[in-house]
Amino acid sequence: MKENDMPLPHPTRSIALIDVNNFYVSCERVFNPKLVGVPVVVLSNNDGCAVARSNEAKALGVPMGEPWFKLKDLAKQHGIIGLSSNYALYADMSNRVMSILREYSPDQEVYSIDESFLDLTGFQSRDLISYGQHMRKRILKWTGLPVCVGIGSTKTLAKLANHCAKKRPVFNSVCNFNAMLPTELEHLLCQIDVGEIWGIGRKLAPKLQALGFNTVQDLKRANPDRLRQQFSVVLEKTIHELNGTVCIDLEEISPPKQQIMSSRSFGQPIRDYNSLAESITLYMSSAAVKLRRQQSFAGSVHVFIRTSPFKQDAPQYSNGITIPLPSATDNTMQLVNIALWGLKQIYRPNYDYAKAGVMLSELVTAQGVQNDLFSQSGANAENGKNCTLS
Amino acid sequence: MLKTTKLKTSKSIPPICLTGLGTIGVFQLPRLNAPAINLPLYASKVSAGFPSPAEEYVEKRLDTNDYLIDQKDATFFITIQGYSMVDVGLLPKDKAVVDRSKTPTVGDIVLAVVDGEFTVKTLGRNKEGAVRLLPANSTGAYKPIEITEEMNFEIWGVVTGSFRRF
Repeated sequence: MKENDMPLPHPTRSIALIDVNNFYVSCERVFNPKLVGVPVVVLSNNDGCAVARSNEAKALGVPMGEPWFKLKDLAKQHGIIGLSSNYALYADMSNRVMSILREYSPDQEVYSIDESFLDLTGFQSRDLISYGQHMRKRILKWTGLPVCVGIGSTKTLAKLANHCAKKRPVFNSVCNFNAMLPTELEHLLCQIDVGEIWGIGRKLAPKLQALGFNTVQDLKRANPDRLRQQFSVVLEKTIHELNGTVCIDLEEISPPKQQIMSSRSFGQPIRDYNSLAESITLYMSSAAVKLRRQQSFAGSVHVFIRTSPFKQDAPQYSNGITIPLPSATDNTMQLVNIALWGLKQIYRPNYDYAKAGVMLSELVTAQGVQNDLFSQSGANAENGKNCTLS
Repeated sequence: MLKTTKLKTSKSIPPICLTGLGTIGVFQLPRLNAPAINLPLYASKVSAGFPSPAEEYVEKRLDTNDYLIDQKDATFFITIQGYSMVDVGLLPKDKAVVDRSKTPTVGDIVLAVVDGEFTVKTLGRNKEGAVRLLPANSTGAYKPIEITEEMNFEIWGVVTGSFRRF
């Protein structure tokens, strides 16, 4: 190890959050350029609710989660185009973006289908704003998808920087808090509503505002101990993170992966089983692609669902189930069926689910697969079928 | 082997209909997780005749994905429609490989978007330096498209190859 690689006494991390703007809508626009500049909403397949909106649709006041039938009049009036969702396409485009980003740092946490954290601490000798611009331009050219990059010393700050990159044209889609003077950053944080902070939802924000914490800067200056007693340990961590102390580290998945995770926090809480099943199917399909890409087979499947821990006054439920498989597989159909069986076991009605996901573990390489004597078809036999099934 | 996933065309939902809007049905996504299948490649070039059995010398093995795709994260497949590019060997129903990572230069075959419509043409410039999209069909049935400032124009990607089943 070289001397200058030694950690400094108070190292400042540089964590980036990259996310695709209006992901589903942007995917549709890549393949249908006539949708550019037009108000577009993407609707969920089972119930026809808006799951993604273009900026034009947002400007017309289309709320997230609004069912299409309620939008009919507005749609007629303004020519809003409603599209059914195409999750296979979104999963493919997501994989491309994540794969391109992997080239920019070995430490990546794919946070959701359209968001990824990258640890850029090791690249601080470079100008990280131009590094971020390079990522943004490459993703736009290679995939046609617009992204914003936010950089900060913690994940919470990276999220906020991303928000600024998106909302403030002056940053040209890349915002690095670490490159700003302290006074400059303070001035910026004074202008951002406390509700924009990661983990502070619509319910917590008014309570904080009632106590006089209106802006990000107000909360940053707050006494973490006092607010932990009044609210939760989560809020205490948030305050530390706003001050640059890492409390939520990257869940790094470095290859070869021992586990493959695919999960997402929903933009809108989901209640019904069918919507959850749709999400689980999507996550498992994308996990299975990753599994085959690294030429592994999964020995067990884990499914989990949970309500939002940030909404502590709402009924809370969180559960997961691990299902060991009789023989390791990389077959999407099999994995999806197992995951859906698991979901059925843990699903309880009348909760607002905020996040769901799947995890593949006990991974073995193609050589290490042992066929179960009693199973109908061994993993190797199925390997040839993947192409048509998945 | 090369495998493709057909993209579902995103259908509009009534009452708003997508009249006049192009579809994305022509796009297909390369299935890149497919295991490589290396088939023997014979060293002697085969003119349209019968290869000599004496020349059955295997030079190397060839994987079709590897041969057709340079930059997997930027590659898409499309299906050729129409006869405008037959002189460069692009026939209707052929699959063409489009690589978005390549920087287009004059003379490249490109997938362009002109006023919201996709078209495959050869990239050219006129004397004034303005972009023209050139067909490759000696019957003269297709005219070059002159790109003017009022047009919405974008080069979507560079066509780097094609493949066909008989």
